[in-house]
Amino acid sequence: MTALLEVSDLKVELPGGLRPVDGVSLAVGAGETYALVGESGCGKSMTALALMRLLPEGGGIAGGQVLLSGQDLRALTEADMRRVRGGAMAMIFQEPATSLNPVMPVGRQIMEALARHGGPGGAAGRARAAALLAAVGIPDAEARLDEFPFRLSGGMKQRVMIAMALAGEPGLLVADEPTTALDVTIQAQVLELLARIQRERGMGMLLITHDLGVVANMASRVGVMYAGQVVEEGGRETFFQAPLHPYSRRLISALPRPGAGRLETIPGTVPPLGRAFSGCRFSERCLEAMPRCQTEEPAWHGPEGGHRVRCHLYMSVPLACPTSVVDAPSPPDRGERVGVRGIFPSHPPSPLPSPRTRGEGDTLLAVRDLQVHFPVRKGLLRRQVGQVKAVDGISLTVQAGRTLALVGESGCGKTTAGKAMLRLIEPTGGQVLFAGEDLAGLSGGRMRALRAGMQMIFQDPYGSLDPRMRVGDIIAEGISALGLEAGREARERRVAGLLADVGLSPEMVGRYPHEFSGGQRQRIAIARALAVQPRLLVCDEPTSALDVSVQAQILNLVRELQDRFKLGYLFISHNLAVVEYLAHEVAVMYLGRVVETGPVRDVLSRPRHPYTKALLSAVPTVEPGGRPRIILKGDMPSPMAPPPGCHFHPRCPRARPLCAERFPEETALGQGHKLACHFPISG
Amino acid sequence: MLAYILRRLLHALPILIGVNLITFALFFVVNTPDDMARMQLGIKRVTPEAIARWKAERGYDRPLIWNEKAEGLGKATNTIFFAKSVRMFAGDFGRADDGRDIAREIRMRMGPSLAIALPVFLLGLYASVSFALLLVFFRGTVLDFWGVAACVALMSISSLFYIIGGQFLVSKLWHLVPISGYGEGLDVARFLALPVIISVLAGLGSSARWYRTIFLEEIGKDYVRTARAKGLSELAVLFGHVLRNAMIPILTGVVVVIPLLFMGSLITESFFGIPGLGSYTIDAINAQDFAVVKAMVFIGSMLYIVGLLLTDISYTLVDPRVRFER
Repeated sequence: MTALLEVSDLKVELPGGLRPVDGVSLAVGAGETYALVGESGCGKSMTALALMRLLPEGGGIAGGQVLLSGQDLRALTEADMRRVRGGAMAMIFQEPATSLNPVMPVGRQIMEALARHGGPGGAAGRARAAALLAAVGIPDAEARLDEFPFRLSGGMKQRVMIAMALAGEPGLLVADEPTTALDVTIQAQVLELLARIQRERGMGMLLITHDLGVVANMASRVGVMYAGQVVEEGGRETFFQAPLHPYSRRLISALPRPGAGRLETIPGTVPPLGRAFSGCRFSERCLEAMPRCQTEEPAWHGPEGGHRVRCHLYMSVPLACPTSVVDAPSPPDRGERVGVRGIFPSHPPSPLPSPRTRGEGDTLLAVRDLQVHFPVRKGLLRRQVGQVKAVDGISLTVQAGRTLALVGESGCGKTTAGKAMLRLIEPTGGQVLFAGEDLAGLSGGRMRALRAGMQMIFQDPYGSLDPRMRVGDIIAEGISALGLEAGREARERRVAGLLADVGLSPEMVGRYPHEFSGGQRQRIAIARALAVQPRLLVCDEPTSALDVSVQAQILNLVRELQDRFKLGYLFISHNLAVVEYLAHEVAVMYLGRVVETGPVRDVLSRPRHPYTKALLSAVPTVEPGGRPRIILKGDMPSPMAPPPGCHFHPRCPRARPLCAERFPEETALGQGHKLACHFPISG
Repeated sequence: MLAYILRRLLHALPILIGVNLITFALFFVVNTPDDMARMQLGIKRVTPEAIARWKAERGYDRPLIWNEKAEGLGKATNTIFFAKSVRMFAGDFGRADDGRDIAREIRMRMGPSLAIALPVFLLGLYASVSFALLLVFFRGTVLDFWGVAACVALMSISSLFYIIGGQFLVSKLWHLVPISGYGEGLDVARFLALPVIISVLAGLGSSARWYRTIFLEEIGKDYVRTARAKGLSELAVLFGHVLRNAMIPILTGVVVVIPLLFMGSLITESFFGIPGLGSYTIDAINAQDFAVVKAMVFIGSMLYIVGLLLTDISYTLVDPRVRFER
């Protein structure tokens, strides 16, 4: 069988001598999903754009061959290539929010693609577009044709993108991080849709993602990319059972999982695109590197079309029996990781830090019935006509030395709740006690003094540091504002100490934030927060903008700091794997309310609320046979008009009439596990 | 929508009062009513009595903004500020110092002003958008480079140079059109051709360069990549997707000046001797005629506020995301 898409030795050049793709070869068969996985900056997206010949201006294909159904795409004229784009080969992109034309109704955007590729126009085209929207699971498709993109939720927009891509009935779909910008429950919907469409149409799919969980759920074949090259390739099962390349193995073991100790990290970062390499590109970050790795570029080992790897460790080893291969070159402890259950060790969960040291377990933050309502104003006199109940009565406690995770999908109010607890937003009602002191109505001076005790780390390490301030000044600002250290020298010593604490070199004080990578910036943000010796840290999605290997570094650091300083964490996250790894307690939020709370191991291993269960099942995991998938219907409703009764009932598989009438009371299940549901899942 | 427009118009009132106060203050900081009388009467006829009579005839014998001697409300109303500035809110512009009715003058001069400003506006917009699109289509090529260089050259030269150069070449040397003046009926076209062309040329460089930047910014966006991924041709992408999105920022700068077209152009009208509102304003400033100056500033600021309102309304026409529920 000849493959649908055959790429051989593809090289891409960008202005400035950059080589984001340097000799990529892969093949995608009809009806097959080939997942290209790797960290940011590995050249995955550039590979996809090169296939479409849509590289950024000034960039171009510098070498290699791209065959689509035997046709050489590089040899086509631009006009012929346009017929291929959206015709034989279509592409969907990462950001559904910006990838649709904001001022054109979605129906017209689909009809445009139809008309371009020989589809019907006029009324027939409209009917065809509606049929496409219905096929991607958009209810009331006919009426939706005239909607503008901003009216649709993120998941709906991505469905429209998929419908648009299907308009030309492509044989190959290139999906570039199609679900990265979406919530897990929506991601589960979209992934299922993609898999169904592919099955029905027998399409080939090139799926580009950084999320190994998505790969494990979607791919038939996996290619791991590093620094512009594919370094390992294989079928899904063989790959996840026995990843061969040290990079792949480290990538997988950097994933947070419950009960694990220190996460494995990959030292350093992906090398810059412009430089020349001698030898293996991963060698400088590889713990198994040998002298020859520095000088000699590794060749492929293993059968073409089978499981093969580009690494010197496999020079002399036949690849017939992968387990022994993995054992052979690995350090001893590495071997046991590759067991029947895949690479995951079956460690017993580490005991909770039980012997209480001084201060640990003290209640740091107690929140009672916190509410944040935003007024909605309308009309000539700006009268208030309603309110958005972003946070609608939540109660939590954070203890010193412990981590409470606040989880939920975007728009559930978790960030607002976090900010309201620190009085960065004024709460509408309820009580926030920090170390026994009620924050509401505190004077400015007293509040400032208390601020030293509680700090926040934000999601976006690129936007949350002042780009015009030196790192040293960023960290020292809080120290001098609160008058913690007298004299410049003492302050400088303190800053240097803080930088060392977060794993940065004290010489970096004079640099500006843009000189640092994302992970380093997040370290700076942590140092800034620690500078005033807080007892409570509110971490708002601190790792969601980072790559897996960097995420592991930050999570390790966050844990170490907690152990050292007995910090209490309020950890706001949508990533349940991170929460499972890091938190002691968890509170699950849905539309401004906490629906289930309790110790992490209780709540996440035996969820009683249907929402918690659905949320958990939607997370794609790399573990074989994971949890059975529950796909929730529809999107989260708007907090402007939440459904009556239990907010979750319109999407709940267990809902009964009572759920639409009354919000369920919170019931205690013992051991701090609390639940708000009329018909909980029996434990 | 109606509520929104009403609210915006209510906001305009304090702005207009402020504009009046500032115009009044600025004018009478540098002039006194006596200066105005001397200027009007001419040096030979100036006597204290003549000045007093001139001021009494035109109502400049009152205090500026506060009348101590008057009774009750008269303390505020029996002043130059109230008589000359505040009454404009009732549509009463009063008379110019030479005795002519300002309102009538404005009505008469509006036509010539529009006759030149409107074609300049439309042709200028058309020319600069087309030129910018052309540069964007050929972006990164030699044509783009020299196009931008031409834009920079065009915008670096003073508009006075275009006017004088144009008059010299086209009118004096080639005798194609009259140097200046204004006519009746179709004859107008002969007088307008040169000022319109020169004004369009003078504005082309800066706006085309600016629009090019806007287009280039739009072209780098994700939805354009999506449109290309559909297999659309570059022209279809440019006209079908980029143009409408780029019109949103372009509108900000463009719609706001539409009402101001009625005011004409100060320089062009003066140089080409066109009896519009622009030359009227210049003449009034030279003659220190407060009545005309404050009337023109008042109308100008009112039109500007209307322009801002029109800008916001026009957003709702091109951008479906903008609605008035704010």
